[in-house]
Amino acid sequence: MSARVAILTGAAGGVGRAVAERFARDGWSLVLVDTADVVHQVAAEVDASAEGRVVGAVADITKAENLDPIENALREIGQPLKFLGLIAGVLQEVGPITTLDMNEWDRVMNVNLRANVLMIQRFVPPLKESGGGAIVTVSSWFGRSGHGLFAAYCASKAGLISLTQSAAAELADDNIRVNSVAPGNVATRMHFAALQEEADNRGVSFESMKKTEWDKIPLRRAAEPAEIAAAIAFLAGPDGAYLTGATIDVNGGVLFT
Amino acid sequence: MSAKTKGGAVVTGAARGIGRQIAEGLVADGYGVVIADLDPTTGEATARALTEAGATEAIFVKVDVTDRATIKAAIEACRLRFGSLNVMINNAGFNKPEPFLEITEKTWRAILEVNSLGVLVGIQEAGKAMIADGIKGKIINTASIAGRTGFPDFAAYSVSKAAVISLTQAAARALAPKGITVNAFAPGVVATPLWEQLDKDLYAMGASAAPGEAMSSLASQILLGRVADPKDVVGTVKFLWSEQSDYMTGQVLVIDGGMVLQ
Ligand SMILES: NC(=O)c1ccc[n+]([C@@H]2O[C@H](COP(=O)([O-])OP(=O)(O)OC[C@H]3O[C@@H](n4cnc5c(N)ncnc54)[C@H](O)[C@@H]3O)[C@@H](O)[C@H]2O)c1
Ligand SMILES: NC(=O)c1ccc[n+]([C@@H]2O[C@H](COP(=O)([O-])OP(=O)(O)OC[C@H]3O[C@@H](n4cnc5c(N)ncnc54)[C@H](O)[C@@H]3O)[C@@H](O)[C@H]2O)c1
Repeated sequence: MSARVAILTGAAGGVGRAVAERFARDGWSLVLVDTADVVHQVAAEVDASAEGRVVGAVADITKAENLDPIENALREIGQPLKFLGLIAGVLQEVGPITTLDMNEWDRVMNVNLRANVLMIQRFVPPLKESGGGAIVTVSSWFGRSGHGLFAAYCASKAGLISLTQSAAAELADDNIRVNSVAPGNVATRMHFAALQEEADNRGVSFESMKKTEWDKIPLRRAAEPAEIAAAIAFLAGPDGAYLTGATIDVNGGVLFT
Repeated sequence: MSAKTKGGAVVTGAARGIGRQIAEGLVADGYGVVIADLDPTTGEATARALTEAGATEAIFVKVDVTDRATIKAAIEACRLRFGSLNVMINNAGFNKPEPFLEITEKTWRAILEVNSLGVLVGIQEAGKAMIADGIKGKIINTASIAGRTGFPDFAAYSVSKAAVISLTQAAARALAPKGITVNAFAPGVVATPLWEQLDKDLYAMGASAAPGEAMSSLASQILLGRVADPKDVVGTVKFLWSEQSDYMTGQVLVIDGGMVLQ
């Protein structure tokens, strides 16, 4: 496979890191983006096992003027950009709409929605320059329908699925395919923190909260981050070449769409 | 055939079209494959061609998916020849367009019998064989974008494919405790003999102005700008039969080049 670069946001997170490892194994060079400095360490660790180059870039992607380090890293690698993995996301503070702090609403929308528009605006031109490629957003099963106490998160992820479809329609002629992966529960920090918060709210133990939630999943477990990465790799590769505007639900059967 | 296989697969409606392409992909991936089809002439020829080209073997078994005994026989042949049934692809199906107000009971029953009942029986018999052998298998059903939205001239077909989606979901719940996953893929417009016939039927009905028009007018509604070749859907089905999709069950993967955006 010839040299090619993927930009991955949220690369210091549970899913992002698994995607980085998978893509490195598949021979990609990577720009790993996160607000957390630890992304440089992730880049160093992933690099060790890769044929391509892996470079970290610290950026808060909610502001256009913050994206320069990503572009610099891309230039430093000097290979064609063929993939944009929009993985970064935040969970909201759990709570009812009636008392939802609008700063919290804005924070969630900025990361889960606005940042992805900014990333598309900035990195579609280099994708076009390299003759096209693929974009995958990471939405959520919470974007497939609304859930009480998660209004901002659900709306942001539903919006992201819609954004994915609009981008697919606009970019098909440029040979850029745009799809989404909607995970169910994934065994990452985000999921375990959400379980802990819910357990505290209900005054039950973490283990019993976990059992309550996992019993709702036909496959009776959360996904390994690598299983989300597998679907993203499929969409990025030749086997996914006829897919655009699609959302793949990797959720253990917790929701049928 | 002494080549080691990853196990066995049964593909219904695999004599030609999408099913044949899937069977070819399974052979290339190291599965022994049973071509389960109504049409022995084409089916035998397909089995021979795939065996010659591939590392493993394809055998033909005559099956009418509406006849449980024949599906059972195909699955038995798969277990005997390849050791187990690991992948079941319920793909046989057909369409016969009729204007909505003129749909006959005969057409309705014929389409639902093959496209829906045939899938139920295929899932049931595959599930029983997998459970008996302790196989955490993959069952994959061919739905359609017509199962997601109704088309006026294909009402019975749309219903039959919506039923495939419901069966996929019910079976996913029923078989998850056994470690068996059940998913579907929903093609858009694929250039196969099915569509050639459909195009002729639509022209004869007066639903299109010229031969070939029904199909080509649909191409303009596809973001990727062309109808699919059967090869275009195989990558998606392969993802579903591979361990890469182990955390997916009860899902429908729309593989339509960007038509319905769901
Ligand atoms: N974990 C789950 O159960 C689950 C379920 C469904 C969907 N998801 C989605 O999967 C994606 C990855 O989640 P995860 O579980 O790996 O979470 P995570 O919290 O482990 O990782 C998210 C990463 O995004 C980074 N990030 C946040 N805001 C950023 C910003 N403004 N700029 C750059 N980076 C930023 C964080 O620093 C973090 O490293 C998210 O979009 C999440 O919504 C997760
Ligand atoms: N071609 C398309 O545009 C398209 C789109 C969406 C879904 N599909 C679905 O894909 C599947 C395959 O379609 P195709 O386009 O390859 O069609 P096709 O007509 O080319 O092939 C169908 C095969 O199924 C066999 N078959 C029919 N009835 C059978 C029965 N009762 N028992 C066993 N075998 C039987 C036929 O002999 C034939 O070999 C069907 O379920 C169809 O509804 C096709």
